[in-house]
Amino acid sequence: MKRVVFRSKWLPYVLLAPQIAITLIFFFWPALRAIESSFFIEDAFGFAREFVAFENYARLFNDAGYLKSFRTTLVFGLGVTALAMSIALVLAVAANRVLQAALTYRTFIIWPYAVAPALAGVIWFFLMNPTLGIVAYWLDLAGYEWNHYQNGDQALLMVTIAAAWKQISYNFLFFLAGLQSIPKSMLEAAAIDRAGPWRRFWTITFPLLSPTTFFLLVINLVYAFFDTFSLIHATTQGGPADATSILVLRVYQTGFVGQDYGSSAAQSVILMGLVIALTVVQFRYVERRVNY
Amino acid sequence: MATVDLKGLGKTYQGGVRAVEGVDLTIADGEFIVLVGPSGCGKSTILRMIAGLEAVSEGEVRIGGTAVNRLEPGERDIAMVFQNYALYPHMSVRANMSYGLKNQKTPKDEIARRIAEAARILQLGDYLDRKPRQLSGGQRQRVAMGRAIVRDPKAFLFDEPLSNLDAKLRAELRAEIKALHRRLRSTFIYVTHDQVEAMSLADRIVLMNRGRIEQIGTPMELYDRPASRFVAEFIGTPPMNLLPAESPAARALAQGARLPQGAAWLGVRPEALTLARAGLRGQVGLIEALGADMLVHLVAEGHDAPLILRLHGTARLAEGQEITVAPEEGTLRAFDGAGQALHPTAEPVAAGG
Amino acid sequence: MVENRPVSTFLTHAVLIAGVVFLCFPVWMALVASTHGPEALSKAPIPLWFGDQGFQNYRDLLTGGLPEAGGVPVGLMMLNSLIMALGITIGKIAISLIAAYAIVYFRFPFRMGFFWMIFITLMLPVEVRILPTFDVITRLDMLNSYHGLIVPLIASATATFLFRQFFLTIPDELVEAARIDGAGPMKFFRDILLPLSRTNIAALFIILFIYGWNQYLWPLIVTTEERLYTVVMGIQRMANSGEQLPVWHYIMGTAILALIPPVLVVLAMQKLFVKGLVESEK
Repeated sequence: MKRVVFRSKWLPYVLLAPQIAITLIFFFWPALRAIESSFFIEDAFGFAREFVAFENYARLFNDAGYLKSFRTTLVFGLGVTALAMSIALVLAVAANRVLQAALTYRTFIIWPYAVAPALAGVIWFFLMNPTLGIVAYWLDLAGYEWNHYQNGDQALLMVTIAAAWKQISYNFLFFLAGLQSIPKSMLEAAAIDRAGPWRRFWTITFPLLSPTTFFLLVINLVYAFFDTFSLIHATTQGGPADATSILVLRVYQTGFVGQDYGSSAAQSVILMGLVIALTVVQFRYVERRVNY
Repeated sequence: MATVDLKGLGKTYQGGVRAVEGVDLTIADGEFIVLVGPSGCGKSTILRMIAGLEAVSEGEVRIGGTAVNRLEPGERDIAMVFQNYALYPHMSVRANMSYGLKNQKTPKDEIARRIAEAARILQLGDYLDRKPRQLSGGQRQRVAMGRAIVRDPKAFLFDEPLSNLDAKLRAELRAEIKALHRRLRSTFIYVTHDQVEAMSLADRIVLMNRGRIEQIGTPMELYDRPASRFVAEFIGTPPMNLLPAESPAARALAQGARLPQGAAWLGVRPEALTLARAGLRGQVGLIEALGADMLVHLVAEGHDAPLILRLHGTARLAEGQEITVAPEEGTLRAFDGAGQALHPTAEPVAAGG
Repeated sequence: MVENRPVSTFLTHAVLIAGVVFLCFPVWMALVASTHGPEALSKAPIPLWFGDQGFQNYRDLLTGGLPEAGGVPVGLMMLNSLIMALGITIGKIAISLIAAYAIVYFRFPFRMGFFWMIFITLMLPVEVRILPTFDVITRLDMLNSYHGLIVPLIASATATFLFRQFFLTIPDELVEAARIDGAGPMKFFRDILLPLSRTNIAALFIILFIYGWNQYLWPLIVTTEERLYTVVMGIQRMANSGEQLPVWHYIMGTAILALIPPVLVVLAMQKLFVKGLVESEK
């Protein structure tokens, strides 16, 4: 709270107007329309619409494909999060040990942050291409047959790796910042208490890192659930046989490809609920941190 | 340069907290006024109401005879020096000083002239093109003062300007501020919680307590004739010794003199007590040798807390020694049950011989 | 750390180098592939070192355009990406700065209501409400235009929140000093607040530029005319070109071109970027 404030009856409203206008037109209006549409069935041309209450939702939860998407999204989200966070933590701990060289390594580790998820997807798509991808070739040499065009699990694994690859930089930066904020004296005290490096990590470093870990957990899940739309759309497009069809992709495909507005809107509403839940979790944590 | 008048000034914050009430004060042109008091006494609020940074809830602020209640701070023709300097960090010293003048559309050569003058007075000539972060705390506060000087305001307001500095710098800058006032002969209104600053700087001190004025007077008036127990205890280090008027120790100090009607407390300054043949007997407790003088804790019969004596540094005393002390003539002060001084203006209570 | 044993130091570096290799290898392969002709990339194993077609490939991409991508030169797509990224970045920073300024430095009815209204938009990523938003854009006749690409994306809860936090750390005395110096609200904003926010603006600029450049879904649905394609969404049309075999040397060349600007921005302004990212999100 500022002690001294300027007095003006109209200026603050003028200053806020652009932000509020865009928010109302492009956020609130669509969100409300999504909620509204989710209670109707419309024909493809938008001429006729019929109020059906919760039928769109009921259809979704009886749709095996939609329920499978839920499971795919969860597997994908947890996979990306676990992979990206564990690799980033290992790298951050290592970088934190080498001090002077850390900055050099950091340069080589942070740049994938800037790579668009779509590009990360396309590049990995190329590396793992069954006929000419170099990784697929190496796997073949090792006696493992790779074909993500046929094998749904392999397709899901591929997009998981690509999505995690792009997210490591972000997690790395936060873990490194978290590690650097741990007072050295604490680790030195533990060393004097005869705790070895391994024990020190698990009893001192890791617990002190837990706020960062929790924050990243939420961020990574949100990333995997929503920001990876482009990665999947640019590569597998949900296939083969819906094996990589995560929820956001389905909203798009049901709406734009399938032209089923009611169902797409209902899916939007469900996803909004999911984002709100995640944001609330994160926010409670942010609040708590503010009070530290 | 102008007079500043406060008439029935009051401030009530949202939620009904009364920060200041019923303050009447007339500050003469060219006077150095120090508002002093414990934290939360309302002294800063008064200063901020004069500056226009805080809305006035009741009463009136007049600068140079004009009511300014409704004027913006920039329109009141005052300058202010803040505790944390409040220099614009991205501007050079020169730009900091000229910003206010530019806003007033002062001609360029006039700005240059005033900055040169202020830089000369404050010895800032070598620093004009530096940024505030390249300066020490003392230099920053000088720049802040320079920013005030160039404005040539009707009144200078200081809000605890020395509190962020170490003891040595504080003493130095205190002297500089005093010298600056001598040179400018402008109206200075200075807020501090430090009674040493108040004593050494002020033409008149305004001592505040809980939003009200406790006493207004010259430093020596406040020291010699405190209007209340609060003033007696706030001004002076160590503070005035206070004893219940009916205690044996108080009677021994008064040595049979008649106390004024209704006296509940008897007070005496530490340096007013001297070794004597007759008077209050006690045992020497702790001795704090300060060099020039020493503070002696005297554990007297019939009084729980030790009395403090300020004796010359060469006095030969040892802990545990029995001594007798008496107040110098005319130095005993009496206060009633509510803490108000008795006979605040008339002859002080005489210590009969 | 406390110990300093050669073996553990060696292991530490080994882990870091392995990590760097894992992160760099895919882009290395993309770079290599972009310098070969189609024959070299038609059968496994593909080469691991540069070929001699690089110059020609990139020239074809930047100027010629590919029939597989609708014949749009990648150079044009990059220009579109740049316009969109800069538009989004500058727009977001501008409207967030003034919104945060209003919320922090003024008292007015519904102040916190507005704040929450902006804040809640954090919860509505465009992917989630894509169809109704498309609908709104259609009604406003903003399809196939630069402002259609840019304006809907410039509301930003994150940037507003960030500037608010920063403004709250600026000492009150600075405003007071400015007011005594006769500065009104707009003067204070221009002369004091804006210069003080420079570092924050720069850090945010990097992050938002990357965000804007990397937009995919929004250009995908808002543009149907090829002259407005952006490079990140354009590449998708080459990769999924249906019947034809994908032209990998061109696709990888486009990928490299598409990732160079944001990667350069991050590397060139690394310190500012790290500070901005870690401090803003934490």
